[in-house]
Amino acid sequence: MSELFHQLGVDWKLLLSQGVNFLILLAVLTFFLFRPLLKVLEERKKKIELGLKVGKEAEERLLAIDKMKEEKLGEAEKTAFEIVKKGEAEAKAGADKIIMEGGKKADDILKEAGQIAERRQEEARLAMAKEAKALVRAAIIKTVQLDPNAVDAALVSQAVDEISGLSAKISRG
Amino acid sequence: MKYPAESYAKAFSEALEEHPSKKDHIIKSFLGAVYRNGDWPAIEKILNLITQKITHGAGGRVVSAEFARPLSDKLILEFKKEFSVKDHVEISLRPELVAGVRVLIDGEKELDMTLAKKINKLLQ
Repeated sequence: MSELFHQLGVDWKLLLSQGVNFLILLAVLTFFLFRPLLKVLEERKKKIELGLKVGKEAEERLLAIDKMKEEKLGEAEKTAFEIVKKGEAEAKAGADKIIMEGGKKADDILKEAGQIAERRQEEARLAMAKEAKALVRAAIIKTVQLDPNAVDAALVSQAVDEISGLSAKISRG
Repeated sequence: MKYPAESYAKAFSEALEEHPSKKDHIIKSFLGAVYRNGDWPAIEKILNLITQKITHGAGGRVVSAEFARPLSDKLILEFKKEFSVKDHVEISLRPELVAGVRVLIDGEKELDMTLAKKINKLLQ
């Protein structure tokens, strides 16, 4: 065996020392470099994972917020649409009411105007009748004044006849 | 009024019936009493009632005739002959009657033969 090592140019002692050196170096490196490095890597990995997780959560939240925003916007749009629709309906009802009231008012005004016109017509008619009566009366009086004695005589004769009839009735009674 | 017109008329008539010889004194005292009582504004009503009472007492009627204008004597005679001497006929003028006569007998029976009434009736 040692012959074979010798023929191959391997010095087993050197190999052993190098092996020991290697083990020592490995132990030192493991203790002072690999472990802290692994720890650092592990922490970094954890941080990255945490970051990824947080990022994913943030993304999910953003998505949820977006969804919520969409929903809220939809609801707001719906509410706004309903408000506008209600407003339109109310405005239409108000306008209809105003138009109806306006129409009624116009009818009332027309009716009142008609009544005023009728009343004025009636007043004018009455005034005309009154004037005509006054004219007829004045004409009759003027005619009578042309020969008042004749009219007086006729009327007094009528009165006398009436009184005679009355006296006869009383005397019979 | 302190006393009603009817009471004055009754008192005057009774006083005149009881003492017809003191007619002037009664009239004077009566008018003085009406004046003192403050009832002078109603003297016309009182006198009308007295006239009515005396006329009725004598069996006559109180006739009030209103003419539009003074009538001729002929017409007045024609009108008056319808009443007896017991009747008391008062004649007054009211131009607003236009023509004719309005007769009121005993303040109750009215006979309106005036042109004013006929015109009013015609124009009503």
